[in-house]
This record gives sequence, C-alpha cells and structure tokens, in this order.
Amino acid sequence: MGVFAAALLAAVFAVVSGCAGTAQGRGTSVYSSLKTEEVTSQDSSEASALVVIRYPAMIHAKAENLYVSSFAINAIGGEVPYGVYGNRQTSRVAQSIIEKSSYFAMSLYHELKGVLPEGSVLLSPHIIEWNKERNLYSRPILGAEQIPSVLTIDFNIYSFPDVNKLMDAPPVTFGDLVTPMIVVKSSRWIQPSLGGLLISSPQLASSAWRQVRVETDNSFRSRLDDTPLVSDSSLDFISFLRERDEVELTLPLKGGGDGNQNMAAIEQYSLEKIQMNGEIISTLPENHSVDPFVQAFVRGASTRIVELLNSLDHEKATFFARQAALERFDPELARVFFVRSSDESVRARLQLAEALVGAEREFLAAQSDSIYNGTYVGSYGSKMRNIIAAEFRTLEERRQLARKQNITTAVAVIALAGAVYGAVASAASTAAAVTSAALVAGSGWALHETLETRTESKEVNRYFLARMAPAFDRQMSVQMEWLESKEVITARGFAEFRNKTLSLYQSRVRSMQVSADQQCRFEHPAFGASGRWYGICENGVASGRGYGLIMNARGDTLEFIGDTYKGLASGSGGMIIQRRGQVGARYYEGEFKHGVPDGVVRIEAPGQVPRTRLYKAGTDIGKGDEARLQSLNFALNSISAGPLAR
Amino acid sequence: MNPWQKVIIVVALFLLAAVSNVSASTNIEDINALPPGEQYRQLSLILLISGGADPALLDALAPEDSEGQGRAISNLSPDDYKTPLIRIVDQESMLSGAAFLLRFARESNDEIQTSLAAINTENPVLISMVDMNAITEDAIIIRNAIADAISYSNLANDEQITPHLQNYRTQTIRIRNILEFELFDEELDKLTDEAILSVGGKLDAYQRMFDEEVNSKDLDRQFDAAKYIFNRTEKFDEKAGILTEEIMKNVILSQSKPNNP
Repeated sequence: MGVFAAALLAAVFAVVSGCAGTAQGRGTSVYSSLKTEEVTSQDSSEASALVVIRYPAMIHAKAENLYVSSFAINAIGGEVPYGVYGNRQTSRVAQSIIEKSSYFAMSLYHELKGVLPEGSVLLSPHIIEWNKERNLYSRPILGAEQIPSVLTIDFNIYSFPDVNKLMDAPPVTFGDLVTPMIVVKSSRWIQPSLGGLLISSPQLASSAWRQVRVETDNSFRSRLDDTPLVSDSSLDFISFLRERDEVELTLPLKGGGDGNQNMAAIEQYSLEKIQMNGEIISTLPENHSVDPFVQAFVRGASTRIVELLNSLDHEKATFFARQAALERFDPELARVFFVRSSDESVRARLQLAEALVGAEREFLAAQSDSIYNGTYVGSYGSKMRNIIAAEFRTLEERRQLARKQNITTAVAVIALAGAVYGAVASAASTAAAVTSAALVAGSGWALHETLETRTESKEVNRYFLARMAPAFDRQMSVQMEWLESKEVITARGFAEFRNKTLSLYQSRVRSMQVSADQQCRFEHPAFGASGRWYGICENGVASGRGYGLIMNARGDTLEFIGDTYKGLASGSGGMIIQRRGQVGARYYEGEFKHGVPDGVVRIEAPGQVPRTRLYKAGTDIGKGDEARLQSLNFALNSISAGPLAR
Repeated sequence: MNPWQKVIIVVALFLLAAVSNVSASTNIEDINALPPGEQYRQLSLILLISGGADPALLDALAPEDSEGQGRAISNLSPDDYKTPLIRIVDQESMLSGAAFLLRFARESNDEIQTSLAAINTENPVLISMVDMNAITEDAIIIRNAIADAISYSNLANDEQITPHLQNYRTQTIRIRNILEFELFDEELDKLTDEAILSVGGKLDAYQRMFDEEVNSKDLDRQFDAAKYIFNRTEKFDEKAGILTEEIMKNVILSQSKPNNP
C-alpha cells in the first residue's frame, strides 16, 4: 500500500509539474551579442548576388499528407505519440510552419537588404512537392537560385508537432515564441573539406551534409560525363523531413563563439526558442513599425551574415555558379570561363554575358521587393500579425492559468493524494469519501479549481487551433493562389524578359580567340587517365589553365582547378579529393608537379585548422613558408573595363 | 542602328567635313580657343587615340630628337586622319603627324585631363549632351589608320616593334568592345526597366485580388469567433466545472481499483 501511495504521489506530481510550464523562451538570440560591422566592398561580378534566402512558401496538395506525417515522425525536441500524427492540430502546426516561415523570412530579407548593397539580396520561395521518384522535395518557384550568390541561407521556423506540449520545453513558434532554423552555405570551394557548409542548426546538419554530397555528386557526374545536371535543390528542412532512420553523422562542429574559428568545421546555430517582446506583439495588428523578430533574432543573425561575407573571397564563392549561369545561354563561353583567360575577346564576351545575368539579378531583386511588399507589408502580413497577436493572447492566458495552477496545485495535490489513500483504505463509497475528505481538508475548492484550470487550459489550446483552422486554411489557400498566379505570370514575364535579353546578347557577341576543347583528357598518377578537362588542351590532353575531374574505380573523386602540363596538374592550383564513404574531403592549394602537390601547399581537412606544408613529389616533408604559398586566384582579369574617357 | 552602319555614316560625315576644311588642332592653346563642346570633343579624341601607345612605339615612329620635324607638321589635326585621302596619299606625313600627336597626348596628359575636368565642371549640361559614342567611333577609325600606316611602313619589319603595334591594335579592339558594350548595356537597361515595371504593375493586380479575397467578412467572422472562445461566460464555467468533477471522480475511481479487482 505504501508503495502504491508513493507511486501515486509521484504520478500526480509528474502530471502537475508537466502541466505547470509557462512556455517561456530566451529573450534574445545568441547572435544578438555580436558587434555589428560594415560590409566591406569587394571586387565581384555584377552578375552575382551576395545572399539568396530560401524558405518554404507553399505546398502542393499531393505532398500535404506526407509532409505532415514526416513532420510528426521527424519531430525535433521529443517523441510524438503515434496517435498525434493524424490530428488536425498536427496538420495545422505543420502548415503554420510554412506560413510563418514565409512571414518571418521577410524580416531577415528586409534587414539584410538594409545593410547590403542594393539588389544583392534575393528571395527564393519554395514549393513543397512529392513524386514517386524523389519522395518529398521542394523546388524554387522563381529564378533567384540561378543567379550566382556568395551565400545561400535556408530559413524556416519550427514548432513541435504535439500541441499538448505547447506549454512545456519543446521548440515552438506560437505567439511571442519563435524558433528559427538556418543553414548557411557557400560554394564548395570556400570550405572544400565540408562542401561549403558553413552554419547549420545542429538538427539539420547531418541531412544538410547528405544534401551537399548529393548535389556535389550530381554536379561531378554531370561534368565528368558531360551530361545535363540533375539538380535537387530542396530546402534543407525538407531534406531533413524526407529522411527516415538515417544515421546521425559525426560532423566537425564548432560553436559560434569558439576561439578557433579557423577550424574547418560547421558552425552550430543552436536551436533557440526565442521570446519576442510581448508588448510589441500585442500591438502588432495596429502598429508594425517595429518588427519584434528583428530585435530578437534577425539583427544578430544578419550581423553574423555580414561577418561571413566580409571574411569570404567573393570571386571564389561565385566562380562555379557564374560558370553554371553562363552555361545556360553560352556553353562555349562557359567552357572557356574555366581558363580564366585575359584575352580581350574573352573579356568582352564575358562582360556582355555577365551584364545579362546582372540584368536578371536586377529583375529578380525587384521581384523580391514585390514579394516582400506582398507578404509582409500587404494583406497577408496584416493577417499574419493578427494571428500572431491572437496566439500571443492565448499564450498569455495559458501562462496566467499555469501560474494560478502552481499556487493552487500544491494544496490540491496533497488533498487529492490524502483522499485517494483514504478511499482505498475504506474501500467503500470512494467517490463520496474522497469528496468529503477533500472538503474536510478544506481544499475542495482548490482541487476543483486546479482541475478545472487544467482542463480549461488544455481545451482552450485545442479550441483555439480548431477554431482558427478555417482561417489558417483560407490564409494558406489565398497565399497559394497568390503565389501560383504570381508564379505563372512572373515566370512568363521572366521568360519573355530572358528571350528578349538573350536575342540582344546573341546579336552582339563576337567570336573568341580562345577555345576549350570539349573532349580533353585529364589524368592523375593514382586515379588513372579517365578524367575530363575543361580548359586549354593540346593533342587531346590538358595543357594549360582549366578545370579537371576524375574518378577512380572505388568511387573516390578528384577535382582540380589550375595549371596543367601533359594532362597532369602542374603549376599553381587547388585540388579536392573526396574518398568514398568518408565524411568530408581533403583540399590542397598551392604548387603541383606531375599531378601531385610539390612545393608550398595549404591543406584543409575536416575538423582541423588549415596548415601550410612543404611537399616534395606528393610527400609532406615539413612546414611550409606561408609567404611562398601561391594561393589560387579566382579573379578574372578586369572584366569591367570601366567607362570611356568621360 | 548597327555599329558598322554608324561608322559608315561617321566616315561619310567626316569626308564632308574634310571637304569643307573644318579645322582641328593639336595645340593646347589653340584648342582652348575653341567652344567648350568642341574642346571637350578634341581633347577626348586625343586621349582615346593615344591609349596603348607604348614609349617604344613612339620612339620608333619618331625619336624625340626629331621633334622639330614633328612640329613642322603639327597642323595635322586628329580629324584629318579620318579622311581616306590622307590615309591613301600621304602615309609619311600621316606617320610623322601621328608620332607628334601621340607624343603630345602623352606629354600633355595631365593638362588634358585637367582641362577635361574643368570643362565638365563649368558646363555639366553641355558635356552631358556630348556624344561620346561618336567620339569613340572617330577614335577607332583614327587608331586603325595609324596602326595600318605603321604596318605598311618599314617599321613593320622591325620585330621589336611588332608586339608594341599589336598592343596598340589590341587596345583599339578593347575600345571598340567597350563602345559596343555601352550600347548593349543601354539597351539591356531599357529592357530590364520595362520588365521590372511590368512586374510591378502585375503585382498591384495581385494585391487587389488578395485584398478582395482575404478581407472577406467571412474570414473576419471566423477570426472573431476564434477570439470569442476566450470570453468565459458563466455557463462556460458551469459546464467546465461539471466536466472536471466527472473527470476527477473517474480518475479517483480508476486509481482505486487495485483493491477491487
């Protein structure tokens, strides 16, 4: 009996404490302590953007069921009972992630747009879709991702699927609480050992890495076989949801404030449930001049983005994306691009081509502004602010109830436990005995109020979501209608624009004095002679500047950009070697001879600080002199010739 | 208009100009006496002609000690080089005149730049109307004439001169490319502005559609209803009370069962 009573008491305490949370979050993000800095100007192509923000904006009807169940299965912050999977509330929360990501992404866009040069920040809304081959995936609605960019930010907010846990610890986005998730990537050549993955929310890191690997493999295959690129540019959050029982990889991670920032590792942005300013939230519908999300998260995050932009070589970050952009409309120039020729005929053609991509960037920047106006400033934003404020009132109500419950619970629990014990002991008319015992103890009122409060608060939560559901549905469908028709019209507008600019381009380009053979061999002493070379070619083998790739029988891959002689890396360059089955790659930059490092070389490996070493015929023979290192220069010779003598 | 059509027109115009004996000068004082627009045109032309002319090329054309000879034909103005007549008939005069012109441009570079800046500051509106494309087209014709004259002369056999001449020609191609790029960029800007404008207009339409759809009374009623659930009436409390009593009794009963299996 004693054991039973103790167990009962423990159970009662567990129930009570479980419901007594107040759904609090951090006041500000970890990024808020960063010191703001000006963005430094760097030489970069007018074709390139600095940041593309990707976010989930809509979902296709076919993908909804799988999206919701994947959302419940891959819950972050705890297990979700199977019974909750099919709940209407779970579906609502899953949908609200798309709606609110669209809304909060606008804050990030607006803040970055304010600190970065005009037209350098683009929005890339995604639609979530499903098909048999690809399972759940997302694709960009607009053309922003075809524009070369120094950084790509995947942004979404997160909310735990089980609404019954709203008042507990899980990550939530509801009312004044918001849990942002980000993945920041750049070109693979910026951090070759980790595929250009720079920052990630830890929960997304493994799937983001797998996604990077898939993209790299696809790009490698396409170049090696000279076949069209099969791209999967799904949002990292969607890639994460798509996965089932994938292993958590041991990736090299580092904290944002770690001393050793030079280490080749993915910076973690820990999952933060941030509590925005309640006073501002409560008046949002009437006044949105102050964005509470900017104060709580966005300002700090954009400071970190500016820091990153200042620390990266923009030419290096956009080199391959620029090549891919050229390939769409001028394959001949795209091949020659790898040569990094200073020939006037190449410079002139490249100037025209980059101006063309630059015009597309301008167009898409204007389109991004329109999306911002439509989503944040317009009616959608206004309705979202109403919803957030209403959610906040609900949450405040629940917080008050929870606080009230804490006071009353202490007395009630004792009364309840005592009453139960008494009832069990007498084994007669238990209900009456309990009631009378509780009343005698003077805590009947307290018990009643406590249970009422508990029930009511839980019901309020359910009622709210259930009653709000039609509103959410409508918001969702309108948003979809809006974006869908927008997609059709802007896509048509964009296609028309592209046709016009392309015909202008074609009427103006002149022939080039430099060529890069389509069939040219690239070799490596350990990988064999089956590689492909894009660059200067003599007698069918690489001989001069360009880009080469090769794969051995095991499936290990090697990429090289730089100078070659008789088919082998020779001179200055950079080489990425990815061994099959290994997490991360090894990167060498410096001097090469007969295909292997020879001279002063910088080495980057996952989880290590890059080192400068001296190599002789591929063998590390000691420390290298940093001053003698020949860094790979991705800058093309003065693409912009400047104005005439004016 | 096709750039080559433009060139043909420009050449035709300059032929007419040559016939009408419109004069130009390579003396900075003489140039200063001209109206500001013409000053600007001639100084810009001189700078454009001289770009990429290495000292070695200048020396080969006319050593510095033969400057007196150059001065003797200094009345040959940049515009004279555009006339086919001089290019065909008097190659030697043209070469020595070119040597003088290029050297003059090199030695007076700072002065020319200062004059250009001053004219620009004093006459911003007038200078904004100067047709730089026409000046550049003239410069290209003149540069080609000079380079061709060198090619046809004995200097072409001098191997040391060949790379310098090639450099001068490359610079001419660069100037042509820049000119073509500016024309291309102008058209591209026009297309981009039109496209952006059309997107903006269409978005207005979306916004109207959105307003009509979202601001429906129906939606607002739903929204109000959602807020209304927080208004706990007496009846709500009563019902909730009865419900919780029942739940409480059931919980206690279920927990009491171990003694009554």
